[in-house]
Amino acid sequence: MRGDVHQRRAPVSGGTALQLCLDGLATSGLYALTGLGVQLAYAGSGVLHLAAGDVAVAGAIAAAAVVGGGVPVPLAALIGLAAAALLSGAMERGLVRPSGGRAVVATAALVAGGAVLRQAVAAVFTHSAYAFPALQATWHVGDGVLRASDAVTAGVALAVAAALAVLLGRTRAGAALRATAGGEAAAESIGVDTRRVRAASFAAAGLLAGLAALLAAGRIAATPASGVGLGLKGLCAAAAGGLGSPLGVCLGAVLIGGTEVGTTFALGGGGEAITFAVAALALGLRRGVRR
Amino acid sequence: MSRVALRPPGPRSWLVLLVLVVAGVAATPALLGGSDLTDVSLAVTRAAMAAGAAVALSAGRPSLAMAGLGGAAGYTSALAAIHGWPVPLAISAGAALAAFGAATLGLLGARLGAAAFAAFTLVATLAGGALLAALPGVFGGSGGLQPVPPLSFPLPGGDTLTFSEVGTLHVTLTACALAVAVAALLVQALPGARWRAAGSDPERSADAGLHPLRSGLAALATGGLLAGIGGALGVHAAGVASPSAFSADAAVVPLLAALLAGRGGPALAALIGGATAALGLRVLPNLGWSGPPSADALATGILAAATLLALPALLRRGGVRGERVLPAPPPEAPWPGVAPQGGPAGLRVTALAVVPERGAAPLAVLDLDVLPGAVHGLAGPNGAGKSTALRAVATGARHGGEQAVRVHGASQDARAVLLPQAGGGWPGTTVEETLRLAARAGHRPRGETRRAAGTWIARLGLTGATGALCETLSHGARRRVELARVLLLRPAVLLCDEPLAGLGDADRALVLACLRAAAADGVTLVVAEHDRASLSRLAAATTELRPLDPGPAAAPDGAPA
Repeated sequence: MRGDVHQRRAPVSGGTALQLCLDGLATSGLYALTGLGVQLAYAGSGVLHLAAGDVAVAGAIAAAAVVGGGVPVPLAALIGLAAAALLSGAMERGLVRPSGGRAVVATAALVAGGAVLRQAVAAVFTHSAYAFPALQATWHVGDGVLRASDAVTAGVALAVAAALAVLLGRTRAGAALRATAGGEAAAESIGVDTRRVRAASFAAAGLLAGLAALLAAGRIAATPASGVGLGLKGLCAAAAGGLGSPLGVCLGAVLIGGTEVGTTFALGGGGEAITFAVAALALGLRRGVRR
Repeated sequence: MSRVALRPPGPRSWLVLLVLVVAGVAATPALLGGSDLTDVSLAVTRAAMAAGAAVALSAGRPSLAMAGLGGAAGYTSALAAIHGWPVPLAISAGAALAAFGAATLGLLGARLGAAAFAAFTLVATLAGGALLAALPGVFGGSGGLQPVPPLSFPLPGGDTLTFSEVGTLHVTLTACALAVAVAALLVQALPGARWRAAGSDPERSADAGLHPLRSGLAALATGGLLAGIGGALGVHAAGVASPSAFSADAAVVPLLAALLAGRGGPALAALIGGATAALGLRVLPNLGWSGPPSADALATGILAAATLLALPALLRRGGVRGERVLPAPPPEAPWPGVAPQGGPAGLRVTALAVVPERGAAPLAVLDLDVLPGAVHGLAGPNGAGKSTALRAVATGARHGGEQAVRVHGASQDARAVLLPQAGGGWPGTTVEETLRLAARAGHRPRGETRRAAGTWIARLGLTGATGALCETLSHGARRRVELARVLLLRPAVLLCDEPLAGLGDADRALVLACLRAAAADGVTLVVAEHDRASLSRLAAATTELRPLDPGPAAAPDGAPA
């Protein structure tokens, strides 16, 4: 996503290294948020949310568009997040649930749904790209520039991961989610409404990915197609982390985000290819993703 | 690997093939004369990519990389031709690269389930697109690589036959239609049945000597070859190798076309993919659509919307409704011979730990000594581990090296086969294909497999359902297919997991008679069964499997063990 930002520069000074680290953390944060969303949806439904990036970017573009129309930024952010959550929940209701547990059909339906959504967004929001306002403050450290928005992104991702770890491990909602993942019939026998759990897990996935897309749109303007990369890198981060614990997802995100920032800094445009290759390998070499 | 229910091509695919050929002839350049034909050629090449995705999907490997592989083949062929290779050689190199790439992706993603594999192939496609963008000096950047030499053929004597736009369309159409037809035949014939079987149920496949990985790789490579032929021909028709093949929108078209085609297989998928491409490249622009979204993207969106609308129909094809119930055949008729391959053999199981899953505590410890041709019962409460024990014995016998399980007979060929508790036949194959695959796996001569399968079909009253997918049969009929399937494998030891569960009186009598006949032919039987009355009538001796730690984890009565 940041292929145009860094230029080859040697040797790497302390300030630049710091800047790269924060940049890497922020980029990882974006993928961690998306990956946590994918993980939640997977936990609730056993389906890989292949349209997470598309619903997220649809929300972010809607938010950026209403900001352009004069709506205050916090309200616009809420509108964007709500749109992403609603779209994602609707996909669970309309595409995943009717698939009746057949992973291939559910996957294809999500892929198709994502494609329809991309075209619809492109048809409705006709600008080529949409930027969302971000914190503009910067600090100069040595010859590096640290952006406040990067710190916010990394901080939000960490906070969400910690909150999710608590939510999954310690609360009733987390128990319901784990019960649903363990087996639908068994979960229903102990009074869990598995339909609600699955819809909620997808809506929450949309919300988290939408948050990532909003933060990303503050760094680089969003286009309808930019959701594909965000969603897939998040998915790979989640898969690399084993789709089990929020901490694992964060580590997976650091692997992919770190690769992206590092290789883009060193190689320019080639970094993106290496990042996708690492993401593909992270997904391909995982044992856990059986569906 | 998750279960993928896919249908083999039925008679309808021949109709589709006919339509494809007729449409091809009808759409000859004479009828389209005057206008730019490049778009038509490109639509034809994209049809080949959709057929490629359908071949891979038949083996349970949904690939989103087919458009990207076609694109890679296109760039390869373009680069080779620009550097002076004869165009046919360049196209072959491109197609070969795509086949190799598809198989490599299959190998790297071998451990993934179907959905994750689809995601994996999409990420790989995007990696390819990013690589193109990163090396504009080699690949021409966002404008693509051009000019690519047109389609030409070197003639003896140093001349070169260069095709006009019309000729290019003719060649493209012929080559792609041929490739799709061959692929459709392949998927429908026994190799395709093997791919479908291995892709739809890995556990049953192991006993029949089918390899899910090998089948998946073969199907993916074949699909990649098809996509590569299309992609490579496309760049010479268009005169440019474009990076648009690596976009997410381009990636979804072949898979959605394959999914929509279902039992129509590669031929119908090609038709759907080609029609979508023609809509985006020619029809919509001619109607004056300028976007956004672009005409091509809009066509993709329309296909995606059609897929979503067809979702209920796609699910219905899985055989949930309209199950076939067949009349029970008379239990008195003689049984086909099932003499074990390699002669009768006994089974010795020594202190086999019955472990439900890797790393878990053992449920029980099993000791068995069954003489050749004897029938031995395995009883025990639910949760005692009867099913797990039989699966462990089957796995141990298959791997050979396991000291705890030994199939001892006169020959090394003697093998133990599991008759699983649920289902029957492979979900993705028809009754006849299932039984022919089993007959072939039972080491019969090539000419004898059809006859052996036919004998069982007649004996079990399955004549009215030979072309039906196993998963569309009623429970009783599926169990009959399963019985024939395992016996056609000519096992020395048959491990039956609750063979009578859920059957009506007629089917129970049939199964019991068949098992007795098998025992009389020298097949050693180990039968796990709830119904002690039936078990005592069948088995000379019975081993009681008792859980080591009954505890609270024991399942309630009626649940599968």
